[in-house]
Amino acid sequence: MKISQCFVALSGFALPFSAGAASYQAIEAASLTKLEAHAMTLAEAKPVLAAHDSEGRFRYTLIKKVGDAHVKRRIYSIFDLNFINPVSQHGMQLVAILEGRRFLGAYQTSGSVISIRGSRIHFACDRYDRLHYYEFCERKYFQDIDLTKSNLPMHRLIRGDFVEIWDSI
Amino acid sequence: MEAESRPEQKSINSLAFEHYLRTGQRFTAAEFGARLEAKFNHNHDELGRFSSGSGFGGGAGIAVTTNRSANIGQKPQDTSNHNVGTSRRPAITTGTIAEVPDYPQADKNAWRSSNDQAFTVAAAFYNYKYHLEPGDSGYRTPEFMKAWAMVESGGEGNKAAFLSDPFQVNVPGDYGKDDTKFRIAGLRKGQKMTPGVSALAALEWLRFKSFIHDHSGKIVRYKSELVALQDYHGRTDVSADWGNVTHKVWYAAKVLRLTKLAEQSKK
Repeated sequence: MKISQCFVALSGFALPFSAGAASYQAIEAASLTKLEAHAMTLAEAKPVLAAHDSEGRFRYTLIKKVGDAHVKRRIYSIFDLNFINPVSQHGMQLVAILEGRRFLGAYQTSGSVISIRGSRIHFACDRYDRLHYYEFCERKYFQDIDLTKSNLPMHRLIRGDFVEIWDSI
Repeated sequence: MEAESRPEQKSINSLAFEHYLRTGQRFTAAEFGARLEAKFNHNHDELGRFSSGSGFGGGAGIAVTTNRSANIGQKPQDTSNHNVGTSRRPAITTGTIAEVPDYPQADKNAWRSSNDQAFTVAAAFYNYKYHLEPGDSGYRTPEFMKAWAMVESGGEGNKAAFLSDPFQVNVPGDYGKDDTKFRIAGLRKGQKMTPGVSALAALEWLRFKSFIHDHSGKIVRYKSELVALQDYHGRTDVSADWGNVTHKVWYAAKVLRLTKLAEQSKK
């Protein structure tokens, strides 16, 4: 099946194949929007995350869905990844951001609690850290991820750690 | 003095410029110098000369002596020049470190004492590099190093890990996508590890884990020793075996408790 036929099938239009190129472009655009504006379930997200596993971490990672952020017509699915290295027994936490089946990026979260507040991904200290009044739990040591911007930020401050965006998990 | 330092400065500048031409990344001489990989060869002194004939010798600016009366981490007499590797070297002992409770090192477990000299030299080098005196926050003792290594890789069945990367600082999977570990600890992914390299890299990585940054990435504060160790470990799953706390909390508390016990048994 050709790509154009796929889009026709997905979009539900039944235009004859003799339709002009402009019509197909419009259908393709509509179909793409439809694909992107799709909240990913955990089961759907796992293959996408596995495809972006350059370090072999996926197999040893516990993945939880945080939720979906709706920004205009786009839907971002947010996942909390908790990796335990079977060799060193060290841990690593990441937040992964997907838009439909598209992997947008991941950040190290150092065990922060992740939540969605409107169009932002919000980070905060966990209960243990808050209980001990650790200084890095102050709001000034956290930056949210604003999903209304065209691109994800290169760096974020999470729990006092200045972390870089990763293109894989 | 100015003329003496100029050739080295020029060399770093030209290296930084070459790097810029190759990659487009522009660094100052100081930034580029900080990016260079730290190599640790215990048989060479600070000038790259062969300093000891056999066994474990002094690492980068550290003179090793077998005189047990010498003070560990002793500062040089002449303190006018604090540059690492250019001032007089501190003398350190190379005796064994006290046994860590729960980790016997007799007979078949003798391997647990085989990294003692590496730990002693690494702690002394670190203290010397950052001008740390006993009692200062962040001052490292050989007992701390050994207790930490025991919790990391001193268990039964971990002998191979203990003899190569006792602090588990460069294990595949823990290496991030960015080059932070290279910038901070001078480690490359998949690099062959030795106890000396592991100890020095782990100390630098632990120090990095103690930083609190602001929005621009500048270091503004430091975390406590306990939290730095927790973040070094990073594991957040909870189990009843660890007292219903996260693994990293249990881990950091255990390292500090064993350090205290080892230091007490030394006295």
